[in-house]
Amino acid sequence: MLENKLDNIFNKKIVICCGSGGVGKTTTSAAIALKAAEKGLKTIVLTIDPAKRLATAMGLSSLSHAPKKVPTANGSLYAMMLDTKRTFDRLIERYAPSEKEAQAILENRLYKHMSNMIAGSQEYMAMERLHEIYEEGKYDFIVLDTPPTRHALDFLEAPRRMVNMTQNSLLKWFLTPGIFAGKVGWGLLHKGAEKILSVLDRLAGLSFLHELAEMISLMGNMLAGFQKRAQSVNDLLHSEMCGFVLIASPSEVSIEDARFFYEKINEEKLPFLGFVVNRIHQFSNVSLESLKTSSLDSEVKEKVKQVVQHYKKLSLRDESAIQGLKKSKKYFFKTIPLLAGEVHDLVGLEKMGSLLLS
Amino acid sequence: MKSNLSNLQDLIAHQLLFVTGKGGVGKTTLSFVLGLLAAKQGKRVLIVELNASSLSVLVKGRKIGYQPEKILSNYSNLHVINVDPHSAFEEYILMQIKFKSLYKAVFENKFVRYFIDATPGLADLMCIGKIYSLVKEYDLVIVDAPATGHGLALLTIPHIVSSAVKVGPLGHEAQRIDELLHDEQKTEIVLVTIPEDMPVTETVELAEKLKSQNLKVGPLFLNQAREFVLTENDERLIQKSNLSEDLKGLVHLESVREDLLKYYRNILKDTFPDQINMPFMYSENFGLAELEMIAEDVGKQIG
Repeated sequence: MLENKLDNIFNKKIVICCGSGGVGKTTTSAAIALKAAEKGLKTIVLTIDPAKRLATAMGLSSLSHAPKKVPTANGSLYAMMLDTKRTFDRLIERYAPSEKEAQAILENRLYKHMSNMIAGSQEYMAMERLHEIYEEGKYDFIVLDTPPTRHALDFLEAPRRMVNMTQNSLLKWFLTPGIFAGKVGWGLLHKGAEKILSVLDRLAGLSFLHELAEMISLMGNMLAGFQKRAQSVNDLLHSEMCGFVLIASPSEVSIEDARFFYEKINEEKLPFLGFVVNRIHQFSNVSLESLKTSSLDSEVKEKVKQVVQHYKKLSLRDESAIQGLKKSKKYFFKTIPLLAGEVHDLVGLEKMGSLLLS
Repeated sequence: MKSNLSNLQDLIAHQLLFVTGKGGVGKTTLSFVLGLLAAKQGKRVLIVELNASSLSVLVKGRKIGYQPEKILSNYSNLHVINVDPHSAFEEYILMQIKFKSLYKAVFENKFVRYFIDATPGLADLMCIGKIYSLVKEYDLVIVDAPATGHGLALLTIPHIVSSAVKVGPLGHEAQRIDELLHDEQKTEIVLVTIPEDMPVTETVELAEKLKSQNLKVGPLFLNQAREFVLTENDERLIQKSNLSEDLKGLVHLESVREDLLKYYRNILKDTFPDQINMPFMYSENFGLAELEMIAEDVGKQIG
């Protein structure tokens, strides 16, 4: 078994929690942050979309995107909700060379319709905010709860994808707005580009193309600043200051996702801390012995048997799901048993934190 | 619990059903359950997968392709297709330009590929376009749609495109697709969730967003809605008895779970007066037998 690097978690300055949706990522992030604060580290947890009751427990409302002090007994813990609604607008505002150009992009009709759909922009913005907060230097320890992603480190790939789209020289050249101003440009185009244009024109008309061209060339202008920043975010993520925690639930799909994520993290040489497998049913060994001698009537006893049967089946299912991780000694992982109810208050977080980082 | 608002006949009378909800709550399962129920009623059904890996158990590792095929030998009128954006794009462009060599020269160009992959919404538009063309060929098309946010994008892209592109076939086709999606006689969106905090919250939010786009939201399927056998009185007796602490702990856990189920049902009730239960399954990788079991149970509730 690998060394338990999760125990060294407080040597890090930034912990990034990843995993697919519904595995308890937000809760785990909050539990780690709570533990850090107890240790005396001034801590902030950046969260994306916490469940309502957990958000309430942490003093967060969906309307506010400023750090809020969490009412903990020990230490100083802050929580902040990341605004992912306007992510792309923020990128434009930040990196456009002038306010005028920023406005031109933001008002481009196509941009308006499509900005929210650019894959990975949400993930990337989370990393941007992380970098910003780290640079401010106000906190000793930062925990980031990432948006749910499946099968990809979208936050690393998003800048690349954008650069690919806008920097591509051929595309930029033949979609330059000037081309549409008159027929002068046409003769200069080589045959391939001409064909592409004529097909696109037939499909969607030149006015659409014109708008598309405007958007792409405007976005091309903001690339320099964007790329530079993306590079420093990337450097930060790869430094020893950071640590990645992969979170899964005991289902085959979720564990498969986490393993895939791990391979990616390895390929990218990102600093890995360990797996956390949440909400495991551990009831295989519950004995029915005391039922035999009990004075309960047989109908109730039968019901208890049914309940036990249910939880034993779930325990078996969970065990077989985590077998894969157990077998390959490559991965360190920590299992968290199912807690009664859901973790939605500070008491629950404290309990979970202690199980996680005992 | 007999549902009084919806029944199977009304549901499968549509031509196009979208099944969506948060990731991992049972969208593929429900798509197939509805497919089996409709096929049993004699409908010619097509299930559209947009991520065919989720059915690996049913097809035993085989890949479902871009051509509709029958995968269950005892359901001869049930077909499955995997619609991927690249194939859909190629098919669409070829329809427009008619020359394969031209397509190859233009659209298999590396730079154009970049552009196609990076243009937001294009993949969704191509997929929904393909789905539109399939509706004519079957009595009922059931789309195993992507999870919440992406599912919404798929359903709204035709409107976005038709309002941005006013001329040319692309704009007109987008408009026709949008009209089909908004035709209440023909299209309905079916949501599925499990009784947990995030899935429930997301489902309620999604239903509101869909309604604000004037899309028709049908009944809610509540997956993993278990039946609880212990009464409050049973629990009181058990906690007072001399049963082991382990057993008492489990009984307590069970009552907490039951309370949670009630709590979430209540939250969902305002948005979805009409809830259909899907029975609890112990494994996520199950085959036809289990699907038929679920279909029978669901059929009893809405039959």
